[in-house]
Amino acid sequence: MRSAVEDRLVVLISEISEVPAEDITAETPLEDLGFDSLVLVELAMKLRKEFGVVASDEELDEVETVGGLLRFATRARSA
Amino acid sequence: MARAAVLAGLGTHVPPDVLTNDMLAEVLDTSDTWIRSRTGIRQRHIADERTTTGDLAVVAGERALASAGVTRVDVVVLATTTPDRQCPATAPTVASRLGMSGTPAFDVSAACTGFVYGLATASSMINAGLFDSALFIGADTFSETLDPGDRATRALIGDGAGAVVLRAGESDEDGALLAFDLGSDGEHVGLLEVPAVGRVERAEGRARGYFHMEGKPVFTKAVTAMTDSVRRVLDRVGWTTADVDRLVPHQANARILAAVADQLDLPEDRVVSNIADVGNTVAASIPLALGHGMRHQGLRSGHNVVLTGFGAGLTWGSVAVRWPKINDIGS
Repeated sequence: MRSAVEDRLVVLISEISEVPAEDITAETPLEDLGFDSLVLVELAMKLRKEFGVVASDEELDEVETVGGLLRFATRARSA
Repeated sequence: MARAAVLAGLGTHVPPDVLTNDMLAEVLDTSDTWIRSRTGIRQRHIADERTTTGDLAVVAGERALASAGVTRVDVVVLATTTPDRQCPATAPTVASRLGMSGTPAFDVSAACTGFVYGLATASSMINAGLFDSALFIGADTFSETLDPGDRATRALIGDGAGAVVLRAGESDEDGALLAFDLGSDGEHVGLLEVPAVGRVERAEGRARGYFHMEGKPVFTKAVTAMTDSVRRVLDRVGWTTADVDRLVPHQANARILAAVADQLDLPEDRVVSNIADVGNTVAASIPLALGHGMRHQGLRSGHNVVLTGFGAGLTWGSVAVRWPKINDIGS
């Protein structure tokens, strides 16, 4: 079961990358989605707005896959 | 009604020389597509080697005075981070060149937030009864601080000037500056800075006094600082975001502006943007955007307008104003 945060994150990733949501899995490397360097920051802004999750630049730099981003968002939200 | 500083004129100026993305791509490892996708910028105006911040400020100042229908004011304030000389301030020479020798004049330094800080300074002196009118100019030739080999900052920055005339009026008039929010955080000074270079370092070629920017953290700070500052100024003036007809942000980067609009749930057509044509012009950015907004993006008298800025320092600030019936004179 994915949480509401995770579902929403997949939608946001899909919107930004224009990759269909059903093609995005936890294992998908972010670099495969054609993100440029600012997209993770833009996603972090979305998380802040929609879920009150605050991500530091260092934390974001460590994220390599969609699953990593999901785990981060879930953890940050429950913290 | 309370005494208030009221916007009475607007003048803008950019230097004639245009630097396009394709021109940058000829000398740097970049492309029109890369620059547009990351910044939204198509071109910027760059002052030639003989043109100073003061020169740009004089033209914008003349136009603002003409827009207000006056030839003199009680005080001249210039917001700039690239003054003509390290000492003295540039404002006195600008005032004299505008025929106002003898008029008090000084500079304000708050980088890309300079226009909001300077507006707060000039309007406060009017509110306090010290002066009955002011010419306030935001001008920068920030291109002179750029590392010729840095594709990120050279793509962003342009030169320009914008000016407003303020007069003493009443707080219920259109044009009255209704509320301010200002802030700073020096703990993050290293994210955006032009380091000073000592004489010995310079002589030995050991240090470069170029503008340095940490792009990603600046993006985050810019979005959060401007968003939070707009919310605070809205609280102070008693408006909701739905009441905002036009948000006129410092033109930092098109994607920063889009993120601010998203955070505030403001439709993008209510966010004035001219960054495609002029880039980030530091203290000139907000007044140039105001002129553009009046000419091309439906900004008109009676609109509830919020100006917001963010820049090196770090600094940020916002101001709420009901837009007056004024003529914009620009290039």
